[in-house]
Amino acid sequence: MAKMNDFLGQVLATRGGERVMDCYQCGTCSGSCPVFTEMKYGPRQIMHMIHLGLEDKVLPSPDIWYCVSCYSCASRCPRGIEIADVMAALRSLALQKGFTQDKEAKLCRAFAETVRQHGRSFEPELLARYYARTLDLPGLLRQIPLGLKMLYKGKLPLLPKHVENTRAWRKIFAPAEGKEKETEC
Amino acid sequence: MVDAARHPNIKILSYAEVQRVDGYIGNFKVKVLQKPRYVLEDRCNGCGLCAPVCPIEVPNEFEEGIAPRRAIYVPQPQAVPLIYTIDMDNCIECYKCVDACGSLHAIDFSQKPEEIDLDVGTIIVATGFDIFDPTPIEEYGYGQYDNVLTAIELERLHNSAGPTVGRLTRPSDGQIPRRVAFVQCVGSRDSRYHEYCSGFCCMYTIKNALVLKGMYPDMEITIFYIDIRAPAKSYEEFYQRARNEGIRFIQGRPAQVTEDPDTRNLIIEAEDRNLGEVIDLEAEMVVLSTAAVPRQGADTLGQVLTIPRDPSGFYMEYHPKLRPIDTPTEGVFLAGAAQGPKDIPASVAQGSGAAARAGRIMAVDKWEIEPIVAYVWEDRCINATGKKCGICTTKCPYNAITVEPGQAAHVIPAICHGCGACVAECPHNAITQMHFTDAQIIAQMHALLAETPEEKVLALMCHWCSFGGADTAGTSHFEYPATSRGIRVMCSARMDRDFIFEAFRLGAGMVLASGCHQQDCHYITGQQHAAKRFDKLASALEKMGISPERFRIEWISAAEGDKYARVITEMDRTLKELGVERIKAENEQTREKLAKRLRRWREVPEVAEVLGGGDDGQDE
Repeated sequence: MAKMNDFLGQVLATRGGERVMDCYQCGTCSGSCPVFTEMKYGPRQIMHMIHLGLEDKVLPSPDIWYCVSCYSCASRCPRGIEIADVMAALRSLALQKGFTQDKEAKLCRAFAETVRQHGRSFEPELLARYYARTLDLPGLLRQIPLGLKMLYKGKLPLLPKHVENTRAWRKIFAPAEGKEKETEC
Repeated sequence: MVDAARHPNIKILSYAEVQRVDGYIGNFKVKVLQKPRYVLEDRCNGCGLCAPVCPIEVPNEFEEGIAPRRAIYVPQPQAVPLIYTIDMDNCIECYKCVDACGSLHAIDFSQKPEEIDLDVGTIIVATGFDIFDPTPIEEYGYGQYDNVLTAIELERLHNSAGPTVGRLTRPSDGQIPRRVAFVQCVGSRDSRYHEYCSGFCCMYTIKNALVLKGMYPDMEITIFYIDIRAPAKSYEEFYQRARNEGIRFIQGRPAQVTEDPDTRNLIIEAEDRNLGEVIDLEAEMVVLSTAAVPRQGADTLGQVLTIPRDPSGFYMEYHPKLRPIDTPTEGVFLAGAAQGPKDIPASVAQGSGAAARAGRIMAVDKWEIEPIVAYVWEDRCINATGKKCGICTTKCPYNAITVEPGQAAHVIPAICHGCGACVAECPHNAITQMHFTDAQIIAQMHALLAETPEEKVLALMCHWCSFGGADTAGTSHFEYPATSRGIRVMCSARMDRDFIFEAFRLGAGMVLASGCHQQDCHYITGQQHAAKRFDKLASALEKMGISPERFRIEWISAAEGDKYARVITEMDRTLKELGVERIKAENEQTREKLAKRLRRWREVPEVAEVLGGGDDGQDE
């Protein structure tokens, strides 16, 4: 086995990350990715940067948060790499290592907390949690026209709805909470 | 091919299948099934008057189904031999062909399959390859979109002898496409289908691109590739020529191909790696460079000829570097893509090589083999007493041993390669290997462990790899403790469990069993037999009272001199950590138990003689 940098070793140890060394940079993943245009690097370059151990580029990158887990990359990857799972593992690593300051990470955490609370998303709370984290008052104000529109069309509930069986829901969340406070979203 | 047909010493049996091969180098007996053509070979002159009158049309296999053929047909106009065949699955027996044939009377509907027995000295396997069917790769749309073709279909479409007389047309509308895209590595270099690189697709794609450019200079041609592989003579120059002639190369494997339902054009989505951008390229035709795959039926033929296949399914050569044309069955050789994907120059070279390898044998009356073959003591073989055994045949990687009920096992020396797997596995010690007999190996052990055995590391090595590894350690001046003593056998498969027991009974401090890595084994499955045999040996030894770390198994290649030195150094360290006193005590305590294990061996007079004397004379 070739000498590995620490970061590559950490990725190899994650679930789904076992085969990142197999990547031969064909670009099928980036070509398949529906959010590639939003990304800074795209999955192919992320793989390459993992090989090179460029942790300080990979973990703060917005790409890992933009991944929508559609799995197009993984199902087409000719090397059998679970790319979407690698992205999830990278998010997890990013949180563990304190890369929580990006607005993408903050949105994810706000979303996770909202869902943990009610078992489903509740937009007003999500917004409150997100903007409380980012302290982006102008940003929040910019959302108001859209919010009013949604309210008018009945798309914005004023009170949260809970899932019916909250106990079962908590059970699903429990292992993740127990394992690590700083979980991925 | 025409020359071959005319040669006085070459007989071509086409439309025939090899059913069975018996015998050995110089003396093969081959059973061939000649399928009925319903056309008499000695009468048909290939005039072709029969085909046009045939009312049946079915897809022509040679034209990849693009054109029809009749039920009475030749595969292609240049076929050798040029004899027509009636495809009985589709023939309606209207006998119009019989009338057309007229006074030649070449058509005979009463023909039956015929078995032909051949005596041959050598066999060359040149069964070629098949083309991967890209239908399962749904994202490329082959089979869904008419204008997505395989490279072999394109080959027929631009061939002047092909169904369109060399005019490249789109299947959907018959128009000449102005924009054509090629996609490389379809089904190859892909862990979902075939891991290997097919090797020649880069070159035939560049060739096809240049051919199209020559025919239609205004055509926009794009090749999507991962890596261009152009390593052989003049290939790189050919690739450069294609770039100079304006063929576009885009590095990036397409993610998907979709069709515009109105124009039937195709949209290729891919990341252009060098731009770092995802592009949508519209093409009027997409050509997939599909993998070369093992020939259908390669497994059956491999069993008939006792030649193994590699993990990708192609026939395995005897040795990848030193004997790339030979097979593990002496007298059987490989030529062309049956061994692995190959282009024309490489296939021709290997074919010439195979002919020369076979000619070497055909030119002499007697063929010498290594004298290290297995030998059965018939009076000791349990199978001769009427009990069913036959363990030896199941262990032989070459099918060199035959066992008939009530008779002793029989080794065919010309097939035996001398690995010794049967010798080590025979529960009745009824087989030995010439020049590597049990008695000889035990005698070596006794000599090496005559003095202070508890301070020694005894290494059993296979000839090809670990012995070579020890040699490399020496020539490279890798240092390792002088306490090691080595014994060489041909294969780790020869290493009898009893050798280990005997070594510990003699008081050896440490014992190493070593051989080739599994994929390097020079006797196909020899290493696997050894690995299985030694798998639980350490725990068996532990039950008897020997510390399990005193027995070690290592697979060491001939290049791994450093590994050999490291393993011996580590074992010596373990020996010192355990301490000579503890080892002596363990040996004292287990000697009798080990001697009991070796009781059956003692029934072999030759072995008993070497084992005898000293404290091991008494068993019970």
